[in-house]
This record gives sequence, structure tokens and C-alpha cells, in this order.
Amino acid sequence: MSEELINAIADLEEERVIMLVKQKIKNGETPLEIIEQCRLGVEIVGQRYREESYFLSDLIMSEEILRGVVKIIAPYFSEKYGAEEEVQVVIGTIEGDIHDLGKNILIYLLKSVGINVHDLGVDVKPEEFVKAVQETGASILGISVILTFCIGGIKKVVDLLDESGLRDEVKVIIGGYPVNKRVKEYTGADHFEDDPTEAVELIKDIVKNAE
Amino acid sequence: MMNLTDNWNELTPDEKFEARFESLKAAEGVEFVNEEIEEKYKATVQRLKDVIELKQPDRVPIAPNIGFYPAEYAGITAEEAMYDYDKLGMAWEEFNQDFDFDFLVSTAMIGPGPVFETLDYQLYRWPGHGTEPDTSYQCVEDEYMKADEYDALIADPSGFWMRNYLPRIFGSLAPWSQLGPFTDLVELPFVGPSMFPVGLPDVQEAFEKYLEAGREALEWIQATGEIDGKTTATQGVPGFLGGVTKAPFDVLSDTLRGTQPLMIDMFRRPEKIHEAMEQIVPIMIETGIRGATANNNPMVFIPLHKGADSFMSREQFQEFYWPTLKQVILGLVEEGCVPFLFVEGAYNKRLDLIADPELPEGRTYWLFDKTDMVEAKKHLSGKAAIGGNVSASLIKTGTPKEVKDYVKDLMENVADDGGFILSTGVVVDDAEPENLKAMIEAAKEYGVY
Repeated sequence: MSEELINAIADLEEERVIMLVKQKIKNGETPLEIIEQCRLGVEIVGQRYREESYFLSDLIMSEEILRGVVKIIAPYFSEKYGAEEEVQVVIGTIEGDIHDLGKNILIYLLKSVGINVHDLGVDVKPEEFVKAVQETGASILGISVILTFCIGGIKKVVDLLDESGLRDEVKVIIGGYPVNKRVKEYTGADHFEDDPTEAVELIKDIVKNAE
Repeated sequence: MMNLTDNWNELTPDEKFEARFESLKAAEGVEFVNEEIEEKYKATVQRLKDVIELKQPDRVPIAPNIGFYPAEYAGITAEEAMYDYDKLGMAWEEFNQDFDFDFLVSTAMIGPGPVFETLDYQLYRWPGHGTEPDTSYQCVEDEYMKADEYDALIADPSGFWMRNYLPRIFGSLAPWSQLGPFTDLVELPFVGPSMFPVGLPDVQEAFEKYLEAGREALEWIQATGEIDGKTTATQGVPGFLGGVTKAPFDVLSDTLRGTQPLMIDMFRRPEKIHEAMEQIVPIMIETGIRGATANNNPMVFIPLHKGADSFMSREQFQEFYWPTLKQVILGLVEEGCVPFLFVEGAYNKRLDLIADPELPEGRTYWLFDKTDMVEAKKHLSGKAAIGGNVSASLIKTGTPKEVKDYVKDLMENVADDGGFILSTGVVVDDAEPENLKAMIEAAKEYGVY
């Protein structure tokens, strides 16, 4: 497989990526082949972030480049790519809290290692978390929180999971600035993590064990 | 601009620094309840000045960042604190009385709910208006300035603010987008055509809302001025803040372009960011100085956001963030002010850069959150006062003993030769009172020189 596109994505060379994608379409490469090369490039971006040679700004830029790629190849898709894939992680920021940077970093890193994520967004009600777990059958629920006074909402999610008989089906991981062992115990979550890189490793382990 | 003395423009930066602290210490207009309280006030101002000048004070000053916690402590909601100034006064007075911090825990940062409501403020959600009545306000980031509007901002920042930005962040001022710039008014034939948009019914309505918001803001500032003034006079606590300003990069990132779009701009249109920031520098300097003079306090608060370790690379920090922030710092110091830089998140990979040899020694204060304090001291020792960093989690979920141990550790390893202020790493909206008290006790026990 051509390394050119993979490297251009990894090095965040926007103009070069767009040029290469157009060229590849012209040469008859399929959208799925192109997407796969992009995915490999993104994997390197994620790796560099975890090695601390890339930063939030680089993740954001690589997403923006991918949006440009998708725009070019969208008309060549016969069906929606990835729509039928199984959701492994449901994630969202708890009710009352509209911070999303940390959550978005984690989603990016998870996708870069091939884990499927369903993002509920911010200010998510406890009931909506439970409903999403029910509908997707995800084995991991990630709840992000920044504001200490929103921590009570997480406890409510865990209680609701209990009541609906889903508690044993799903591992609850809490993440964000204020989480620690005490917060984990208070909310009844299974794990806590305030570093997205560590969270990726944790989730990879859980997914592997579940298989 | 208003000046502190008649000969202000003849003073050197050092003389201006002295004059500002003299004026803070003199506390003109404050009627202290007794001499002892007045002495306490003066000693505290001296303690702060000593720390800023990197001398050893009598004891480590205690100045945590307190947000909405006094509301919860006194049993009122955050919403009540923003709307009912009697309750605001009661709560903050009780808090200031019960917690013996060295400086005033001011009502000023809470903000006037009625003003935001009249203006139909879109940039924030606040208690009862998008957030729960008992939670703090939160900023709603968006692309309030589009990528193709840099040139308009650069050509005329004030005009851009009035006719583009404000109509987007205040629903009530949306009609202002129809106004012409004031710079149209240059000669007789220009006046009529330039004035007529002001007469449009929806523009008139917007101005009425603007006037109403002004009346409400005046009411609020009178109320909070009275509350804070009374606390100062009875408790002998000086204010900790004079002005507020921001790093030019954060002005663009926090509220104009938004974090994500601005980070993309760093790759796509770096020269536009640089041009825009150069325009914003003098505006941010002037804002900070004006606040310091009006509030008679040299400390100018600068909360730092998007330059933190995890947000951008060191190279990007050096190219985009630091040069214009440094210009703002130098501009403030030039006028005798003390830049109070609040590093949210961590600056572990920036410490050598902010220890910039071109910044004057003993004229700035850096408050840290998740930065390694021992490393911070190593880099900034002899250059700048530092403070920090009892965490929000410790204050909320720790025990008094854990808090005391943490403070003791700071005193022994970071504060040992002065130039240090004990504070919290973040703004406290939620706490356990005995932990805050433990913080004060520990500072008085272990922080005496």
C-alpha cells in the first residue's frame, strides 16, 4: 500500500493529502482503500499524541484534514461506510456540564486504534446514557466530568443501570479533571482515569477481555 | 486615561509600582472599624508587596481563588447570588467573616444576572439560564468570528466588536449589525447617511435594551461595591484584584474563533493570527491598566487558557502564545501594575520559557494549578512570585489532615525563602468548609518566616 498518503496524514500536510486523494480517485483506487490509508495515518497521529510529540492542536488539524478527504470521496461511496459496525463504547459528558475537549481527545484516540465509539455529546441526562447502553449493547460506558458539582449525576447513571438490570453488562469508566479513587467509589463507577492516553490502554484491555 | 498622580507620566515604572502600592495601602475612603483592623489591612498589603518583590514577608499570604462556594456555604443558590444582591451580600459577608483569608473574597466575579438577561447573553449559560440554579456559569464556545473576518477585525477592532461580535453574543444587540462605523462621521455630508440606521425601529429597541442593561449594571456595581467595601472596613482585608485582562491568543481562541477553529488557523493562516494578536496587544494592556487604576489595586488578573502543555506544542507556544502575552505583561509592568498570571492546567514544559530574562524581576505573580511547584520554583526563583496549588479535588473530597499535609509540604519545599502565595489551583465553587479552614490553619502554622 502506498505510504505517501499515510505519511501526509501523519504529518498533517493538508494540501498534499487533498492532492493525493484526488489523484488516487482518478487512478481508480476505491474509497475504502483510501479510507484505510487515512486510518493508518490517523493511527500514527494518535501514536504521536500518546508519545507527547503531538498535541490537541494536531489532533484537531488532522480531523479537519479528514473532513476534507471525506468531502472528496463521499460521492464515490455506494453505501455509508462503517454504519453497520458494532458500537463498543458509549461516551458523553454528564448533565450540567458542557465541557467536551477531554472527551473528544479520548474519542479521537479510541477511533485511531480501531475502537467504535458512540458519542452522546455534552450535558447528557443519566437516562440518556442508560438508553444508549441499552440500544447499542456497548460493553463500556465512558462518562466525562469537569465540574465537581456535576459528580452526583454520575452516581445517578450507575443507580439507573442497576435498576434496569444492565449494571453487569457494562463497565463504567469516569474521566476528567476532578476524578480520583474517592470519586470512583462515591459514584459506583468501575474505573477512573484522568489521562486520555491511559484511558485508551484501559479500554483496549477491557475490550480484549470481553472478546 | 485616569491617572493616580498629577505627575504620572514623569514617573518611572518602579515609581509607578511604588505609587500604586502606596495608594492601595492608604485605602482612601475606607472607614476602618478600628485601628487594629486598619493595621491588619496595611500589614497585609505590605505582605503582598514583599512577596511580589521576592522579599521574605512575615508569613505566607493566603489568597485562594473562590468562585461560587460562599453561596453554597451560606445556603443560597448561585442563581440568587447573581440576582438578589441582598442575599449575595449576606452570603459573602458571612463567608469572609468565617474564613480568615488574608484578602477579600469579592462579590465582583459573580456577575449581574439581570444585565445578562436584558442583553440576552448567548456566550454563557448561567444559573437558572441554561445551568441548574445551584451551579456556576459556563462558557458556550462557538465560531463567533468567521475565518474570513480576520481582515475586518485587524482593520478596526472596535468596529468589529460593535457591529459583528456583539450582535452575535448579545441577542438584544443583534440589530447593531446594521450600524455604520463611527469613523464614517468625518465631514458634514457623511453625518446624515451614517446616522439614519440608528433610527431604525429595531436598532432603537436594541439601544433601549443597552441603556437598561447599563442601569442594571450600575445598580449591581453599587451593591457589590458596598458589600465589598464593608467587608474590607470590618475585616481589614484588601482586595486581591484590580484589573482583568487576557492573553491575545486566548482573546481569539476563547470567544472569537473558538478553540478548534483557531487551532486549525495555526496551520492554515498563521500570519492572520499574528496580525490580529498585534492589534489586540495594546487593547489588552489598556484594559488591564484601566481596571487597576479604577479599583486602586495594582494586581491585574490574566487567566491563561489555550497555551497549556496539552493544548499546543512548545514550538507553537513560542510562536503563537508567548510573544504577545509577553508584550501585555511588559505593558502592564511599564505602568506599575503587577500581572497576576493564572496558569490553568499545566505549564511543566513552559517553565524555562516563562522565566524569560527580558521580564523584570519581582514584578509578576504566577498562580499554578497542575504544574509541578518545585520545578516552578526552580525556574522562577529570583524572577517572579509564584503561588498555588491546593487542588479542587482535595478541597472537596480530601480530609483536613490531607490538606494540612499538602500545605506543609508546599511550605517546606516551595515557600521556604519567600516569593510565595498559598492558593487553590482552581476557582473553588464547591468545597468542604473544614478543608478550607485546614488550609488557613496550616499556612499560619507552617508558613511563618
